[in-house]
Amino acid sequence: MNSSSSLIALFIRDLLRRRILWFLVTLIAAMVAFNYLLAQNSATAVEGGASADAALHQAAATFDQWIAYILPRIMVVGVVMAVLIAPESRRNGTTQFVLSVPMKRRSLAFTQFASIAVFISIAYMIIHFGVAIGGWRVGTVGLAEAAGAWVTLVIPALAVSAVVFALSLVFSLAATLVLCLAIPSGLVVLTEAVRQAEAFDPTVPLKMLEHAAFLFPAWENLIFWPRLPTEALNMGPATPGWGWLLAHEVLVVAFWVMLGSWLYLRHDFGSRTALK
Amino acid sequence: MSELDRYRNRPIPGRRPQRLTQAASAVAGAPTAGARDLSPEGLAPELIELTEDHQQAERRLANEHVRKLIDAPRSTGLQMRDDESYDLIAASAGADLLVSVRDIHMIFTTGFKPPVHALRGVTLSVQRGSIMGLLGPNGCGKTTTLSCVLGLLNPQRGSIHIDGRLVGYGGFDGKKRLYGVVLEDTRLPPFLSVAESLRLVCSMCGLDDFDAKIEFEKVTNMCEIGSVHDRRINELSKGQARRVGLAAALIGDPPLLVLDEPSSGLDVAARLEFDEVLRRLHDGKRTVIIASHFLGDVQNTCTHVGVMRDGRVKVAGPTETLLDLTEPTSKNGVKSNIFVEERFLPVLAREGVACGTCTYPGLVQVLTDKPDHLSVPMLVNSGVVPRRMEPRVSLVSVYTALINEEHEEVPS
Ligand SMILES: Nc1ncnc2c1ncn2[C@@H]1O[C@H](COP(=O)(O)OP(=O)(O)OP(=O)(O)O)[C@@H](O)[C@H]1O
Ligand SMILES: [Mg+2]
Repeated sequence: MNSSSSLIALFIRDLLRRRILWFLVTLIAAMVAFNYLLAQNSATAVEGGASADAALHQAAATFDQWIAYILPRIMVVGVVMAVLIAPESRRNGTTQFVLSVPMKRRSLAFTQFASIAVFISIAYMIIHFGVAIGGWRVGTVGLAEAAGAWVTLVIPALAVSAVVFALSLVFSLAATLVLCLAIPSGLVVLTEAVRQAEAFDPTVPLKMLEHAAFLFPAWENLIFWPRLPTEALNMGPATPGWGWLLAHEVLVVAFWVMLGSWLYLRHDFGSRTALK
Repeated sequence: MSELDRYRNRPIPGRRPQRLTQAASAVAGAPTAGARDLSPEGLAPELIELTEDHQQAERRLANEHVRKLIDAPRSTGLQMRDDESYDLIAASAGADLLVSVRDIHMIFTTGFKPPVHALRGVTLSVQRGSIMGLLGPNGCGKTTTLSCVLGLLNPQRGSIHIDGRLVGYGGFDGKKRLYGVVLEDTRLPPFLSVAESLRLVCSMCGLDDFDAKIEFEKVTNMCEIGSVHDRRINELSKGQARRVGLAAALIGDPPLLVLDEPSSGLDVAARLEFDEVLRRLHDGKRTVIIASHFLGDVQNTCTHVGVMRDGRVKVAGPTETLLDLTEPTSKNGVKSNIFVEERFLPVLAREGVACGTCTYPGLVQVLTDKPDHLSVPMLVNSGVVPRRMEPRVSLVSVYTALINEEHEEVPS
């Protein structure tokens, strides 16, 4: 075994020890519940006297509603998982140990990300297939689509996790979560509140909030999951700024990852473990 | 202007060869911190080209100067200035430096607390194949210095080279393991067992299965940790953890070992054994840096010593040189600490050797200004058997003189 693979094995083991499997089991349970509720939905419609066709239609509509609810929140899973590895391994001294073997900081970060990426990918596969099965049963997701569409979910999820991971290389778990979760969602909530404000002219504050939101990834504008964006692509860009949106996401991810790496290379890992 | 300053400021024509520029960046006797003429680039042009003679002369002057300083607190009240420091290693003839730390400054800033200026211009040279003992009171910056050398901390100023490679951002990597480390708190992944963590280090050092097995056996026997193989790291006692840490540091036979207080927490036998291991490691190829508080152990095992105070290495040099510098010449010229039984007084009187009383019952102290290697054979030849001999000088005197505080040595 070479050094990278044995380190990946070490970090995977650390994550397993910290019960990451329970997290995955919880996700599976959530997906089972999702499918059960969807089936319940059409069953109640049939019981209520609707035709099988109408019941299926209604279930499909419910499915789309639920997806519309899930999609803006789906990256939370990746954010929460990506922050699990670096702060803890700094705390328990594994980071300092690996660096003093010695090993390059870059290699250490790559192995850490590789290990957490395994679990993040599994988590999103669970979500994808759980949802896709439901979509297939209500007839809105094709089998071929379900087999391919996970790519459009997992790749953005890994990109978001890369941002979170890069920041967690230097910031504590709480600080990273604030930066990657609380601030972006706070901005969304605030924007909504300002838009509905009547006491003042919201144009300037809205512009400022928009600019601030521009600094954070917003993949939900771009992904069609759980469907493949074939139609959208055939017809040209899905939205007028499709290419721009993608470029924006890529730039935002690159910005945060580079910032995190820059700080990480200069970070003081301290002469003792109790630091951060 | 002192004699030393005059000597340092003398004009010397010609250019200095490249090799010397590196090694002699802290020319013997020259205070390294805050001195313009000491950084390689800042060398005054007239100082260039040091011949062997010049070097020897500089060394001699430096030694005398340090001796004066070390002697000073008792005799004259003269003390080493805060920003003065002396690197007698970089300057020694043909110094082949494995580690070269030049004027590093480390400032810790945490939140809104006032910054801690932990290192204030540490300059340290470690010769290839030597065992370097780093001494100094608590909080003087030993661990911080070692962490900087290992690239765990990034000093704000100064440079560190290991084997000619700059320790920069990002750390080291490579086929051959460059150094092994035992830090203050032994840091192996706490959730692994001893055997697993040693195997992990083996594979991180790029050893194949066969070599890993051999290496595993070797370090296990050397550090005697066979009985705790299947125990988890966080279940080990402090001393066991130190041993495991040392075993992990030895894997892959790195040319440099960095040990931060390796014998703290070890029992008496283990400490003696550890010194033995260190002496065995001293094969001329391996270089060891040890931060320690056990002056006796350091004196016995280290070929070189550096004494730190307030974030600076005040004096670093070969142990012998430092001990020679502090050889007590004062007390009525007595150079020996040899004690013989009173019944030999007539013989000694016949030989013309003076004796003095001492605190040991039934013994008298031989008063001679001859060094031991001359006086002992002389005594034995005239039929006198020394009952007790004490080291004339010890690191304690160097240490207390430099640190300016009383230090009670724990006898080893
Ligand atoms: N992370 C940190 N933040 C702030 N100050 C620090 C930090 N690490 C070390 N220091 C300070 O730097 C100084 C040097 O500490 P260091 O641990 O190097 O001392 P030391 O010589 O190893 O002491 P000891 O002999 O007790 O091990 C101390 O004053 C310490 O308080
Ligand atoms: Mg220390």
